[in-house]
Amino acid sequence: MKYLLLIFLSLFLLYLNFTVPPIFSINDFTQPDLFIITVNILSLNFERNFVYIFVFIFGFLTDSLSGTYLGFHSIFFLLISFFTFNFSHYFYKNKLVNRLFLIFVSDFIYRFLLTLIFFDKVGNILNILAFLFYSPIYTTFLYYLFEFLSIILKFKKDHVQR
Amino acid sequence: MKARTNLIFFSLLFISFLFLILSTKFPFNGLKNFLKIPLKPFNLTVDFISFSIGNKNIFIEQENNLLEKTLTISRMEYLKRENEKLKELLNLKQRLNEKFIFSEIISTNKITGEFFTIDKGKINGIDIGMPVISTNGVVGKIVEVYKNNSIVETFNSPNFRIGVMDKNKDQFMLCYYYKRGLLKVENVQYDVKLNPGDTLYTSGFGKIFPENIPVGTILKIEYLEDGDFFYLLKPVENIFSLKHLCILQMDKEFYRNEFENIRKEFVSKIGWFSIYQRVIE
Repeated sequence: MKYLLLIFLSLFLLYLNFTVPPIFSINDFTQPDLFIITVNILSLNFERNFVYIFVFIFGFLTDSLSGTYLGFHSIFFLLISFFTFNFSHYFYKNKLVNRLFLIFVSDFIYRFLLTLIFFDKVGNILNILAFLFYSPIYTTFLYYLFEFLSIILKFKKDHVQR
Repeated sequence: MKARTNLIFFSLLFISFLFLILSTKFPFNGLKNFLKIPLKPFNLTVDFISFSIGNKNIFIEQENNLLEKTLTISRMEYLKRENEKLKELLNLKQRLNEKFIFSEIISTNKITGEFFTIDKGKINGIDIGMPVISTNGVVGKIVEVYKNNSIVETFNSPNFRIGVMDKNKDQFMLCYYYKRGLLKVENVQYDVKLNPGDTLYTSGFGKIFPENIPVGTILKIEYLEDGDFFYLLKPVENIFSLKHLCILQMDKEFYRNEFENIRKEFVSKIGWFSIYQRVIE
């Protein structure tokens, strides 16, 4: 049941990320990458084999939606999850700053690679700056917001139980 | 256990790389469409919601109808104004003795307003040097002629020069381009001053324009440091709102270039240096 819910939620996030981007975007340009947040959260909370297969399939889905070469997102998501699993002791529990840093670096590298691939379509230097820096900062901020919300909800739940 | 996990990871990575390499040669459109199937329920839900909201928007439809009617009315008003302009052009034809060629502006240099392209050319009888006027007054002259279109140099061009006079034909002056939308009148008589608001007309001396066509109204008198002065003239026509023009078909002898029949006549020789004189035939 947990996994089914996760798959449904991930599909919904993917749909939001690619089909209805203006919902979270600033000025239709600075768009957060919700799926990178998902991959990082999954890597920190779920079993390795499941996460690898999950991100592999969802990477292909992302490729089919975003128009990139088939396999590009799969490789990237797999590498992110592999890195997070192997250095997970740096990111667990109370190490929020490290997790934020991980999200920022993941998104930055992802966008850097995308910029390299679609360099001829970028336009001008301001676009590159917004794409490479503002968007990862925004993604990190959104992750921080999720964490903050979860902390508040947890606190309330504990408070009610007492 | 760890070895198995690593095996899964590296096999998946290998498959991804394989697809990435093959993607450069094969588009995999079928597979991409198949992968989009899980997202179809979301698409259908969003479509359904937007469709149900769209059906309830009868007010929007009514608003659209109203906008359409407003558009029709404004279009009719535009046609009415255009009709009035064309009538003015016809009146102009009755007022002046010269033959007219009516033409429409195809393109304008919107920044400087220096040149127009008009829809009449050599086959319509247009020639270089022909004066171009509008219902209000002077616009410019033809500088280039092609088969089906021509270029008009307007009074916003730095090359623009025209002979002007006041309404009593007391003063004959020379009018130049000064700034965009402004002309400068020099060669003025110092004893009789014209006042701001006075209209100046073509004198007919420049051998381009016939006389008595309005050029502009005096905006102000500019004084120089030595007491000299000149008039700043606001042209009667606003170049940027023009749509139709008249080209005056004058007697060819009238607007001929003075320098086309010049002959060089030898005067004397000082050492290796020869002196010639220009003689107009």
